[in-house]
Amino acid sequence: MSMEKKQFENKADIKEALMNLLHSSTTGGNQFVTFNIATEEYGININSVQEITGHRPLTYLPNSPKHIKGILNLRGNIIPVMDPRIKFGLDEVQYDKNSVIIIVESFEKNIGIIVDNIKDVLTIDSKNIEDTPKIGDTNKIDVQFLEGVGKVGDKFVIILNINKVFSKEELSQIPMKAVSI
Amino acid sequence: MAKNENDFQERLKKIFFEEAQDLINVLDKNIIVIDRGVDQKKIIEVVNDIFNIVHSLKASTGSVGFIKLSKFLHELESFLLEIRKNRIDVTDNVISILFDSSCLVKDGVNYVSSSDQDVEEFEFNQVVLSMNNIPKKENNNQNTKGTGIGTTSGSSDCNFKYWQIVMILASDLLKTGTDPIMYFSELSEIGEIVNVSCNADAIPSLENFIFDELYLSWEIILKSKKSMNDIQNIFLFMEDKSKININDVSSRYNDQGVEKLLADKRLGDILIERGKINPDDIDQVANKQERLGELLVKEKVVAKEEVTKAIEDQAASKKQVTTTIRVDITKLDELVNLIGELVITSSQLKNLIQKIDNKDLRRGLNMKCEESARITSNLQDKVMNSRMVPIDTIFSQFYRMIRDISIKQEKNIRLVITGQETELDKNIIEKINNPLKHLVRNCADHGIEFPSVRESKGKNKEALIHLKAYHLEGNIYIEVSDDGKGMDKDAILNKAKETGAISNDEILDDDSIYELIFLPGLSTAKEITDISGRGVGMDIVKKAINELRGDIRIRTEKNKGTTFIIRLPLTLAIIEGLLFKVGKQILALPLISVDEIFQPLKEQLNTIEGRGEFVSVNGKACSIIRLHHLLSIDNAITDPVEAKMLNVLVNNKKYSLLIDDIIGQQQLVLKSLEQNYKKVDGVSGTTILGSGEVGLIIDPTEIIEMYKAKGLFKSKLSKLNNIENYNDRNVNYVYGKKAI
Repeated sequence: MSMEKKQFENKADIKEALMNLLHSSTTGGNQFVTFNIATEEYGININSVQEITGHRPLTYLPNSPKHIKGILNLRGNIIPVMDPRIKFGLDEVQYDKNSVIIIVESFEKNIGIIVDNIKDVLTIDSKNIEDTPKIGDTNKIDVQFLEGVGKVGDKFVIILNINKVFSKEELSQIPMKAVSI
Repeated sequence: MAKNENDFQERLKKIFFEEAQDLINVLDKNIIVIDRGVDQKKIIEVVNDIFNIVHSLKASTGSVGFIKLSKFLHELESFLLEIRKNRIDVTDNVISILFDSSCLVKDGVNYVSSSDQDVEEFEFNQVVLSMNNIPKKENNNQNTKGTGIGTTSGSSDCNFKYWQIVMILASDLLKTGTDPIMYFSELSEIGEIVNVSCNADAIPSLENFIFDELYLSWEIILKSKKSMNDIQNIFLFMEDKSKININDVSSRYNDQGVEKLLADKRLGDILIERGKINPDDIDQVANKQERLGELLVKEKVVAKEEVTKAIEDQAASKKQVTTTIRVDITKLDELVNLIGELVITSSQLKNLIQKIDNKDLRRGLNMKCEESARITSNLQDKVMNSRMVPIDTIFSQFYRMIRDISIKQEKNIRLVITGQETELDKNIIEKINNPLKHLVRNCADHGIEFPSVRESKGKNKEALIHLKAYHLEGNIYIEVSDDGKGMDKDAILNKAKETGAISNDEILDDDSIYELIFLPGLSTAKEITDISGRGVGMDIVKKAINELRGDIRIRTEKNKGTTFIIRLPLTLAIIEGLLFKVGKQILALPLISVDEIFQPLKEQLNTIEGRGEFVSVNGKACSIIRLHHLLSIDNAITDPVEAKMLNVLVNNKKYSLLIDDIIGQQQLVLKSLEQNYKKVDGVSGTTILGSGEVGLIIDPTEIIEMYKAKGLFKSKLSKLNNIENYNDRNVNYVYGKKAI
């Protein structure tokens, strides 16, 4: 309340207030949807998250990589769903009522990711994200999929780079001949 | 900022390409009308239309920066102008030039659309040269001053303006010795007086008439290069009592000085405007006047019903002028998507309603549910319908093709087109274009004999190619028929035996023999082209049609002609499918590729070492394809005797797919898997089942290819290692042997 009542005494004050405002709106872009896989907490930039839906039966897709668990119908759109545990080389688990599918956009396609549970939406200031993650012992996941590690308070969030998790080839390669006139 | 400008330019170009395409279609049609040899008067009308199209094309190509194309259009425009002015006769030569140039314009627009680069000038030189070589008559009847017609406010004629001068002079003007005629002569010095109308309303009755008073006022239309000030200067020394109004009315007049609006105006309105009569007079007279229809009835020329009907028809045709808007086809696809969802949701809702205990409520909800289902299916039909375009868009191109071939090969061919208004899905239209071109070209090229040959056979010298489109039983049929020499059955048969496509002792019925021309090996051979008169690439035609989930049949008779009958689905968005189960998976096949379904008996099964399992169907051995293997589906029925066989026809060969059970036939809305993922082997697409889950649609051709590829791998491997149980698949093969 006292902040609101504070009078701007000179132009410098106003400028500073404006700069703060600007700063907060730019840091607002660094919001992350966080979730758990195994014991770790991960984050995905909120801009690439399309929506979050509960786990449901998937249609098995033959002749696909093992980590593609199947496809689902999301309001008339067919979406492939991937289990990051398999892709990251972790142990598979039975999906339960906490399991959630996060629909993300990568290379202009929508893909679902099954995670153990959804946690939070966090704002992490870019200065609190370290580029070169220091991988702890518990973390088995491959460094190549990571954007960095964000520090929120005293906990760490592993930030995934969606465009590194999926390669462009994986989503667009044409396996068989394409015959046309 | 620069980016915004770029965006704008891009948008402009997009609009231009779309518009240009439409204009070119209309252009083609108009030129065809000329070619059909209508009378001279009609030709001028058509030339006018063509002129307008070329003119708008010229303007828009210029505005998006394709200067060279625009320049050519300008040449064409000038050429058309000469025809309009009757200085060039519409000879065959001229029509050829028009054809060629419309082709060049079409190619040019297509080129700039695809490459986003301007065309090269030299491509046009030939045609421009021949345009200039056409002799021009001198024609003095026409006003040859103006060059750009329809561009009154535009570039070429911009120096002239049309001024309306309303001159109400002071009534005592005559007393001062001024003669109003003076103003007219002065005005005619600075320009051309196009029209004068005099208003004599102010003339009083004779007893009140004062002979030296001026009762008249005038409205003058002046065509002049001078500015308003110059005109005002003429009236400079006029008394204040006079009123002079000068207005720029250039937009109302075309270059011949004819008021544009006049054409559409009714006589009464023109007279009122010019002050010759007043509205009440018209009403009075109009009430006296009898309608043409009533007069005709009165005179017993026609029956009253006939007149009533004619008036109704007239009104209906007026109503038919509909307005249209352009819609991106992806928006329509999204609509189709959403409607599909609506259907599924309402069927789920219906299931939920059954759980309600209250009987009345349940019944009420059921009724409403059915109502909404009806609306939804209506909606679906409407949206599907909005994707349909008349087949005319591709049919009309054949006039030109046939004309070209006729001239080149000195044949006399008439093209008749019927059913061009038949509507087809836009996507199908695009994909059927090439196969159809191929067929028509073949008909004209190989099917039709030379006029001398035709005469010796006692046929009409003029050959006929008939293109026909029609709806039948939920399908679209396109027929391409000629009255040429037909196909030579024996020649095809011999060739097929020669190339080993069929064995020497094989006996085929007529239809199967003609079907042979669709085999790849046969149609690519040059000799068969000469003998049978059918060209290269019939296999590709068939393939393209099959990809559209259609089929093609042949009807031919020696020396009578050949007809190709193409059957196509109405739309690509929905297919008739057969749902079946393999393990827990629900799969679908396009119904068109399903041949038969049966439960095999033990006696029918057979295994040939190294070549796999077979089932004999009507005495012929068909390879058994274990779908659960190819698609790695668990928990499927593996014993063929317990399972069901689904026979598919691929490349005229029958294969038996091993499946668990049939679910039934259903209309499937196709969903792309590639939109969010990628192509998966053996799967042509997906569909959403009644439960809201996704079902896979199997592509039989790909399945067969996968089967062959795997078989090859297996036989090689077993030869190398000489073991049978290298994977779980072979266990089943062993089992298959036991079953015999």
